[in-house]
Amino acid sequence: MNYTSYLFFFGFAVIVFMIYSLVPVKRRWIVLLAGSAVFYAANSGFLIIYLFITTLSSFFCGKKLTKMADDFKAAKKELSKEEKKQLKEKVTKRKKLVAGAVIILNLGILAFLKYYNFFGEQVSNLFGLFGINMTMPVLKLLLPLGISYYTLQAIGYIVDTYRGKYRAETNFAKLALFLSFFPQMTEGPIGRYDALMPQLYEGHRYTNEDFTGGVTLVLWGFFKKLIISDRISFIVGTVFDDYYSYSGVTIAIAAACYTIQLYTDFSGCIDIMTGIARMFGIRLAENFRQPFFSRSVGEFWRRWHITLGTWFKDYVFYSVSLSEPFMKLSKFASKHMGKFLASVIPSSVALFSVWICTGIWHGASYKYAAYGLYYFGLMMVGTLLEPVFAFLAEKTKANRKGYFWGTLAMLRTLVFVGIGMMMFRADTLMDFFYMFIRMVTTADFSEILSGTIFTLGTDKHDFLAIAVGTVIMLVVAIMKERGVDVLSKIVKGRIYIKWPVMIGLIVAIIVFGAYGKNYGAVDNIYAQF
Amino acid sequence: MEKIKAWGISSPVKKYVRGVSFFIILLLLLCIANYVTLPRNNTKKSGIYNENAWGFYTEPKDSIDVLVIGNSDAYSAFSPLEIWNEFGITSYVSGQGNIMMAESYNAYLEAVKYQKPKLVIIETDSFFPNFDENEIMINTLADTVYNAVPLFKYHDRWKYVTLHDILNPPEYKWRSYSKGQYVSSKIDAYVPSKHKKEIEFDKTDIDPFISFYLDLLIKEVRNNDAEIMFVRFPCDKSYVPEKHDIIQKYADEYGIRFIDMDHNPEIAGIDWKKDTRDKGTHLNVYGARKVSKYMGNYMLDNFKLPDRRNDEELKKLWDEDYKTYLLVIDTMNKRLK
Repeated sequence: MNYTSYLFFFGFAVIVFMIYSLVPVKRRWIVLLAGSAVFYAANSGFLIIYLFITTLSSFFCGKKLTKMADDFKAAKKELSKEEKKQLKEKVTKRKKLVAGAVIILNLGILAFLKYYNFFGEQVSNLFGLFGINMTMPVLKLLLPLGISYYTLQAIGYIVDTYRGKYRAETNFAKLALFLSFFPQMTEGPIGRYDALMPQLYEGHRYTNEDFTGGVTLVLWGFFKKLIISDRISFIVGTVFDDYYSYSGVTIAIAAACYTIQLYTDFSGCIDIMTGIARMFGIRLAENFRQPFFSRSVGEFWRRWHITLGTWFKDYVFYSVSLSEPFMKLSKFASKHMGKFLASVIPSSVALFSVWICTGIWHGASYKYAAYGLYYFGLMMVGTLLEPVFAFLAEKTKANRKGYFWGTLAMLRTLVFVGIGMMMFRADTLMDFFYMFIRMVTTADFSEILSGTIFTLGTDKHDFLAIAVGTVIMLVVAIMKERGVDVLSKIVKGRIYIKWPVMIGLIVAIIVFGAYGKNYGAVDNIYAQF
Repeated sequence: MEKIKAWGISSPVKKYVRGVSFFIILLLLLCIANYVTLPRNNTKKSGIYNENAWGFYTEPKDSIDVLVIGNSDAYSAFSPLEIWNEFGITSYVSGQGNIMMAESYNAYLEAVKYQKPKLVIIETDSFFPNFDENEIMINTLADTVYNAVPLFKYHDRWKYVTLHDILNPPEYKWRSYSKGQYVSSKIDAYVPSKHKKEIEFDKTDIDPFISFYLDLLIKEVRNNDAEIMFVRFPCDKSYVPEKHDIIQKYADEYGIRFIDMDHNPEIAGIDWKKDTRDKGTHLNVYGARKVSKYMGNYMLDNFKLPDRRNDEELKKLWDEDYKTYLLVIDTMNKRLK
């Protein structure tokens, strides 16, 4: 999706909002469901069948899991302790079977549509290595809108029901709304049933604060997308598509630019979607929390694409950590290794699962797998060297939580993140290696003085717009980091503050936005995942 | 606000007044931005896209009798100066590459503010733009918005706005000596048979977003008591018989003459070895000369168009332009050699 799609989307949301406001409060969730169905069908056509299969299977699975838990609860009252234990084991096994089958079905759909051709190609190559002429057929597979997001939501719902976190939804239409709520369909955020469903179901009356707050967020999202992201994409595209023509300095600048592009593109889209949801009085989960102020890559991932990170933590990390083989490994490690290794080795196995999943969730290529492993590697090195850092800090009496060391840690994290972004953006893993080598071996600083940056698909005016936009964004982020939510303050503020900001944002987007005849529409990066 | 309170206006009214005030202020600022970013001249340097298409602004008022509207096929194949020299008919070709019909419609509306064409020729390759349905819809809507609110089209001019621009209103001064034709004497030969199989065409009708504006255009031309005709200028590369059939059906339905120079290649007699500048995509001046000769004769035979060579002032102006046209071709040929 590009900005034109978002404009249509916003227009669509306004129409749904008007109908929503006209319907009795109790029935408003039906308007959201109908709107979501229309939106999905209009975007994906017959591919809506996949969403239907996921919804149907999750619905019956959830109901079955709750019923089994209820039956067990009722039956255990009359049983002895030993019988209770036996029955619990039996029920747990059956619950696992039911949940596992439905999770495999849904993951299977996602894996088949998203990864089949990639794995088919690898298998064919493998056969080729052994001289066997067998090629897997390449299929023209169409990916339904938001499958990577709604599948995770569905799995989260099933696992939570399995764990007994909440009772299963008894109304199919309500679960369908939870999985298809249209502002979440393009780039998330990945919602949780217990947090989102009550908000979707209870009708919301119009409030000026929600409406103005929503519109302001939408404008802020367009500001990031159109003034910064879509403009900076020209610099990024020019260098990444022809990196062998530039020296290390320009490549490093392009990597930094891509980091800004990805952030403003993704968080801009999330702001638009969150803003639209807020117009309806619905608060979507937070997906970004000033990630570039992180002091470690671990913290970065707790602030960047938060809903994906917490999803993997809750449903992959904990699932792996609590699994039987893993428990055995933990026991073995505590018996035979030191205290430190006993805690590091088991958690590294779980972390590995999380990061390989995070990597390949983004796409079917070695590049994305390597991207996940890159962060796994960084985190493992950080964990393993932690005792050394602690020892050094103690010896040098350095205050690691202080301003100076904190700033250094932040800059170090930015460098690691920048390298990760370079890998993420490079066409292939090999391109990333070549770029990286070129970046560290050929630093020609004259490219800065000669004004090369102004020849990378943008002129000095574009550069000025990017710089001013980024500074405004940075100021807002610094204020938020210090506990002042500027956007909320504006929304709640008096007219003489609110109006100039809102009008200023609209005029700035229209005048300074990188859209129209001189700019091609840039697709949102995370929509492709 | 205090006054409103004092008048006893209820809260919903206050909200309504506030809302309206907000939009009035916003609209006012957008109008200012719109004015400031408008190109100050009808040149590319001033921010006008496809400046050649908009040269009719500065031709003497009501001096153009034939207006050709369409895409790059039109501005490459139709030579107003050749037609002038041989037939004394004044024409202008307002063509833009990959044009949408919404923009063609806008070009006509703009042209009739300054000119009174008696015949409007609509080039038909633009009935099937090289975009998918979704792109046609988006591009058409974008053109509609651009033409309604020029700020969306020219907003990027904020980069070049000067104090002089702000203080002085737009004034179109630039004249196109070639009357919209793209003048190129370059020869880059083409062998038709090699490329014919590359064309994929699965449409059975004109896209609704195209036909909507085409209908409006036809209606507007007829309201102005002008004649109308469809012409497919030679472009063998993009020709498929199905396109011809669809347009013929449409033309018959509306009672419009239709000349297809690809369906009937003998009428213009294009030699693809000599008459194209870019391997068959567009004609060069030699091809345009052949097409224009045919078109001049056809227009004389079928429409009542005056010979403007009797108008001394106009003749002087057009003859000067014709001389420039020949000089440009001559200079090009020397450079190409």
